[in-house]
Amino acid sequence: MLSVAVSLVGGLLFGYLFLDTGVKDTLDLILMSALDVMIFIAGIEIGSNRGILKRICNLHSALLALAIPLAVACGSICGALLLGHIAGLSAYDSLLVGGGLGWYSFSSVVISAMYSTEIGTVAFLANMMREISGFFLIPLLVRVHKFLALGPSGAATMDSGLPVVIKYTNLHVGMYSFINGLVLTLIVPVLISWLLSLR
Amino acid sequence: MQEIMLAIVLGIAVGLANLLSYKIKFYLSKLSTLCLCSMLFCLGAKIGCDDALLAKLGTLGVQAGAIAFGAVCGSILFLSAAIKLLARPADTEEGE
Repeated sequence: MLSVAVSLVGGLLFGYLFLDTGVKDTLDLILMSALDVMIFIAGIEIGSNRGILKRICNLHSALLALAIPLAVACGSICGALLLGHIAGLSAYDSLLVGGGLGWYSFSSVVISAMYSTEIGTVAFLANMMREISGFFLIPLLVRVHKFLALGPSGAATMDSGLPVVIKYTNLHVGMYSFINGLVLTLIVPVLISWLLSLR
Repeated sequence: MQEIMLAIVLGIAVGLANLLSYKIKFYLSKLSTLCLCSMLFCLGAKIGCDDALLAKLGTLGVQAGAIAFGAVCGSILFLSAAIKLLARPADTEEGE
């Protein structure tokens, strides 16, 4: 989390002090190239975790493992649409930001490069706030039901949110947490690219 | 956007084929962190070089906070419904 903050603040200062808006195309090219590499590596991590699927090889567990990310995705989009409208954003912009499902690096970069830097910034801040909120909300939500720990962080439940989920629940819920993040990570590129194609 | 879909499909294929050693995967994880930091640096630079955008950062922060709040509440609400419909007490126990 510290390296994320240092990189972003460092970039902000560097851009403010040394760059003008003429370099935006070059920055977009670097952004998209770095994103391609990161997505390729994320794909390798997903493909390497075949074992996790074997542990939910009964119908009820598989159904639950799919229902959780679908509920998180639908809830995120509906909530973002409603609160985005109240905050003065258009329905389309709210959908794009909410469609990041907590994956702040992907959603902000793609939206910024392919649609609008302004909405890309909102996507970064909103999805980052979402990830951070998980650290505070998970300990409270597990008192109601352990599976509620998988709600706040969205796609981050497979990486930065996973240790927090396991700490406050157990390894079994941790397995669902990983699958939740995995499915949401697969949904985000499809959802964002579909939304961008509607423009 | 097609290149992103291609990157994730290729990545999953390489992961499933188990072509890479643990050592290479370790270095790939470092490379992924480096890419993330580069991306965020460029994103920050893109925001920092745009004076009009910087002036609106406060408003954008409020809008982002509202969407984050809505997304978190919506997720919890829909997840509660899904849990009520599908989850059994044993589903959250390690012994299951």
